Amino acid sequence: MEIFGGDDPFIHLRVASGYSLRYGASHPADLVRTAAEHGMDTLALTDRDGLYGAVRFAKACLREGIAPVLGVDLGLDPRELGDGPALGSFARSVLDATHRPGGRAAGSVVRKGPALGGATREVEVPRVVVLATSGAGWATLCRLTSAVHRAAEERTPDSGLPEGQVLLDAATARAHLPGADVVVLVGADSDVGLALAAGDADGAGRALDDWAELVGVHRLAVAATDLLLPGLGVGSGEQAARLVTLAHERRLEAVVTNMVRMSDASLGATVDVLDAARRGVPLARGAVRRNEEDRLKSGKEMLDVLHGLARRAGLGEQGAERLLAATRRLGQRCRLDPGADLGLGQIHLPEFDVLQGEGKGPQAADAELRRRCRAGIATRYGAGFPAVTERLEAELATIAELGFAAYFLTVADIVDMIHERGIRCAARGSGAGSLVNYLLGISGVDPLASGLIMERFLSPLRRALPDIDLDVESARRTEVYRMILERFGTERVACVAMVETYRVRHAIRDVGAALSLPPGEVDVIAKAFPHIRARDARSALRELPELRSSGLGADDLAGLFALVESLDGLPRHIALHPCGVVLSDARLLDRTPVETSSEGFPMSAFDKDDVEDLGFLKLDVLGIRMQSAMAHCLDEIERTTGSRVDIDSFGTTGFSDPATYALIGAGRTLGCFQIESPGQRELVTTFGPQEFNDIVIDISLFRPGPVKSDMVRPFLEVRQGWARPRYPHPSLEPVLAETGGVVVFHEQVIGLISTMTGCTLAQGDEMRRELGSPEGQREVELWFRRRAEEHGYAEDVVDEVWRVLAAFASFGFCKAHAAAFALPTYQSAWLKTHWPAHFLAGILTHDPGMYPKRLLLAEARHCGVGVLGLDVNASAATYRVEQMAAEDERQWGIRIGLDDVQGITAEEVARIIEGRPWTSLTDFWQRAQVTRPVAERLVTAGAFDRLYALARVRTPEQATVLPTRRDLLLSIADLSRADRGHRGSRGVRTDQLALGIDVVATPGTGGLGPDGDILDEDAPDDDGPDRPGRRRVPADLACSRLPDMNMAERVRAELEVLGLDVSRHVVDFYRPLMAALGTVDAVDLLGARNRSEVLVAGVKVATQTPPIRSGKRVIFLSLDDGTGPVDTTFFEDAQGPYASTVFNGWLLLVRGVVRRTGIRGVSVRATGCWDLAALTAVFREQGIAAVHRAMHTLPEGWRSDSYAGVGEVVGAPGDSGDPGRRPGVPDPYEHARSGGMGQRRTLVHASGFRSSPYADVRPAGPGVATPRKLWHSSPGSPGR
Amino acid sequence: MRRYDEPIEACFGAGSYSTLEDELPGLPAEFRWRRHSWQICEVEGHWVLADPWWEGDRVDVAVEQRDIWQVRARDPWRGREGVFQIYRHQGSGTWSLLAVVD
Repeated sequence: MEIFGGDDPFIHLRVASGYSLRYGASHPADLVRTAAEHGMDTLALTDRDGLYGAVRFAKACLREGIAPVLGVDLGLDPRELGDGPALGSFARSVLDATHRPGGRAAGSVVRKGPALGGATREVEVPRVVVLATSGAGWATLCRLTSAVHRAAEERTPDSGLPEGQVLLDAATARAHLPGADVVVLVGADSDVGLALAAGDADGAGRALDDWAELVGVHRLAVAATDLLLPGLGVGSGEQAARLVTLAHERRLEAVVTNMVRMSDASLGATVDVLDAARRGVPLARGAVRRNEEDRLKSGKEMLDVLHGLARRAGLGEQGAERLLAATRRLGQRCRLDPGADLGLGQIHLPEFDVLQGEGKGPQAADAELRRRCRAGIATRYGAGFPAVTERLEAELATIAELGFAAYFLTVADIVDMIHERGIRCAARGSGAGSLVNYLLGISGVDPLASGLIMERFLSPLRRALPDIDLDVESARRTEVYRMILERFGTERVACVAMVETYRVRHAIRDVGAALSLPPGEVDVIAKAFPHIRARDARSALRELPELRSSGLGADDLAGLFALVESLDGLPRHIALHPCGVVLSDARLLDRTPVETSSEGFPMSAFDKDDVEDLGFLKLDVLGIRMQSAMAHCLDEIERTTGSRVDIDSFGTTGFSDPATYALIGAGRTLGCFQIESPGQRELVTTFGPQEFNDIVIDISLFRPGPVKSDMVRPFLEVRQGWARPRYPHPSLEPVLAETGGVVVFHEQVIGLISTMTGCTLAQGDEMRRELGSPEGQREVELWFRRRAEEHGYAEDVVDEVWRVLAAFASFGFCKAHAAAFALPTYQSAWLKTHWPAHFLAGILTHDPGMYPKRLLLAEARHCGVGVLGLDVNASAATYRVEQMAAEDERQWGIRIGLDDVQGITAEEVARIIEGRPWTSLTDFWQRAQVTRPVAERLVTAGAFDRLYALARVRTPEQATVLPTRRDLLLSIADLSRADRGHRGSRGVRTDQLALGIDVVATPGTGGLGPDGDILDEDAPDDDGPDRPGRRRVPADLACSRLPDMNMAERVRAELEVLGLDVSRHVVDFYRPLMAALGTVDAVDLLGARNRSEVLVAGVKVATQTPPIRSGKRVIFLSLDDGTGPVDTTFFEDAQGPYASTVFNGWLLLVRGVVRRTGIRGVSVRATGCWDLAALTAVFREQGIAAVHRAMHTLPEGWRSDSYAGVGEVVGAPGDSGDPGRRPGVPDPYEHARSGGMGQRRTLVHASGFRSSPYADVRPAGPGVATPRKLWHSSPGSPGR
Repeated sequence: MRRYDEPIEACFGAGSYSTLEDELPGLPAEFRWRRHSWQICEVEGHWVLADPWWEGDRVDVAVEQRDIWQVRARDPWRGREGVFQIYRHQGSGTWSLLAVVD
């Protein structure tokens, strides 16, 4: 590589980036840039315990022309520190701490990620750095890092060491270091350094001799560090001097490092916060005394340090220069070449013979690929049509030229394996454009029928490997990973990890903990922010209305939020959940270290972008819940009807079912893939797709951003016949005809360019990519105009087309992506049309969509599907389909599954299913062995209703003998007590439980059956399959005659336990108020006059805040009122005082103006929002007039003329002018002015943070305070 | 060691201690504390420490550091010698006496 470097001779050999988790405060790129600014030509990266940042670092070095040096900083196993006075006692203290009674000493537990409260604690141990001196040395680093991680994973709890902490032990060191191309750097915090710091010079000498013996003097260097700290400890000048002296005594070279943790001094406070987070100890006076000297100092600054050090060590006149030269020599020795040594920018595919091919060499792979494609022609097309063979030859030629045949064969192998296991699998992305993919069975979309081109996916001009992602059933994803591992082996396969970086909520929590702020307050502040990046904290405070009025933007908090922002992008946690696999040849483990995930998968240290740079074949295997839902649906159809529906062969009939398109066009797409959101429903009802390509267009049109008005409206106008399509030139009609003259697809951009300039499609794609940058646009424009003119296009045509290209190139959508998505979209819509019960059972089980399950349950009812309640004798684990009773006009019903019961375990579910039939609660309690809370939840969720005929209306006589839900709950209490050895106080019959109430069971109207059961004469069920006419209600329980739970309590219980309102729709409880206010139901909105003002109400099912220009946020709020979804939109001028309510409330009332969006589409432009439950409380206490008054009162701090626009907060809460009241504390007895909704509810926290007046209100009916979150919110939405 | 933490006046200037100035830029030749002058003879140590920024009413993220010198100094008028720790705030440049060591 070319090294540009300036004239700064110093080389930093010990540098930690943010990839030293919770230790380093700078990104590798920032460190490299700082070094470049200093004029350095070489820089090392030596992160702790891993090599996570190596690839990014190497790429940054390439960009800046700096030579990279790589190393890993490892802790030493304290058990092997020997018995010397200093190190021995240190080791003992470490090991003792791990064993302190109670088991949990500070520093005894290490987890790979934050536990509750962010406790990731390590024991501080001596450390050494291992630097690579060549490509082979880099391979050593990779394998060494893998080995220490494996040792940590395999460590048993009785080893005496902190669990999971990565440590280097002697055996591992001996296995990897001697003879390798590495240098071991023994520094201030090594065992040698620590011994010196404790005054044990002999011990230090011995330790150094041990290292020399292990690796040899040629592979050893001593690194002194003077951080200008006092005393003799690590980083002190005195210790550094002694290290130098010791090294020279042993005739070893001494180098100088600066133990760098940050690029410059401005990150000092950030480092302190990271220390606090890592140690789990807040910042306190005296706890952490450090300075800012461990930054990437310039050579000149280091020279000052060197002079001081040389003087102290008595090195004489040229002492500093001597240290500098030694440092530089070592750095130069360790320089690596990113391409040759690390493999950056090269390609490493699995070897062909591993792919079960015969023969060797690239021709063999090409031949095998051709053979399989030809076989695919027969399957897909039946015969070899000219168009097909021509296209195939073109693609195979490109693949051969690039040498990628092994890539396709590998992916095809994997897809075949997945299909053989019966797992649903579909490729996503631009790969749908390749005929080879279609023939190999990787993609399910016919590129010729959909007009897709290969060049968008695979181009002879682009040397990088193409990118194929596979969607598989979410529930079986780990199975797929295991299959791949088995097939290719751990030498060639690893999974890709994901580094979680600090986002604003975690940053606030860690900063708050470091500063010892009260945790509860920190939590409230954190949740007030949407899930944005940490660096956007302060701009969010300025721009979001609900944060503007929160008081958090105050000046004295500015520093706090500056700190929060400084944590942005720093790695917080290596998430060891596989999100993709990499495959390579047998040298995989020489190029990447691996750790093991919790499921036992080997994970590469590098993330998905890094592994691509290293030339591995990366395959994203994504678990898509919709695929699992569809698989469940198909299984249920087979189980209940015996027939297997094939939804993967729709392509052969051209995706042409009219009923499916009718469903889509009517907007009844709740539960369907891609097209269920409010925005999509508006689009499809306006657009009315009629064929597969229409769905492709619909998905491509649905884009955020300014393009919407320029793409969607013109397209719809043409499609609906209000405008004629306009083409800039007749020759462009073939390219743009399908979209009415509007540019929608990347492929069309390529087509335009290619048609007008005569270039190939591959070149066209290159030009399209260039259009993404301003310089690129300038270059392309020159080329385009010239060529188009040469091809005879008039200037005004060229102008017009260029305008279109410049505006749309970056906003278009890849048609192949859309086509890949359109396939499951169509499949899901088809299933919903023809098999709604089975389809919704799948959706409810796997929950793939954006809406809460309770809405889907309501949707099931709308589709004419019955809902069968939870039943211990009938429910499966998942949602299943049952036939309804013969008299019922509905054919199918969905039985609610046990898995959704809160807190239930898989074992309990299995026992409940296996132990059937259950004859009574007592029987259940004794045999099912579920925990008491779970039993209670089953009762309140209605699982025993059928057994005890609880749903039936009872005669007064029956009421005295038949137990209620409440009785069942009381009985559980008794059963639980009996288990613990208590007897009922009355010595009653053992099969009857005493409730402490003087009641004796008497026979009811049906008389007593032979087993003592009470017979219920008129017993036809209103739900469930055929039941006998007479039912036995078990008589194991006594009746208390206490009133049963009323419907409101029942529904609340159902919501808490299942998240579903099964017995009644929640909104029904609020109907009285809704009637008094005159709200309009969803089903009636279509008939409302356009532009009329209405009130709508319902349960919140979704909030969305799509990305927009800053300051202009739009909130989409969807409500469910039992008759259908209501979509409302809050533009910026309407949000002000209502945004908090929208995000934090659950039952909402919205006022707005009706807006017709199409023949079957309607939405509401909102002008106000209130908490329905709170208003109901007012309604009950004070009547409808008070409700109207409350609705006209703006929340505290908002002037009525100020919120339309920029919302200014007026005054501080509590300055009511009343001298007797303490400012900021609300008076609970003050029934303030207007309607009682004013002062009373403003909550002011000690930090100054104010909560919305509409939050934290306990409603009168069931609802709000549910532990579960029962609605969808996009990441831009704050609140829960 | 007795802690004082009181302001002092740092006096630079040519004199017989110019060699010290060359070696350690920023260190004064003598300082005045409680109306006595002390001439610096020898530097025993130099280190840098950061102020605890997390204390105080406001969170101020700009961290202040101080350069601390431990010096042996002589009062020529009364012939006394002592070992002192003096420091300079990097930001404001003010000098103080931190402690007297002997």
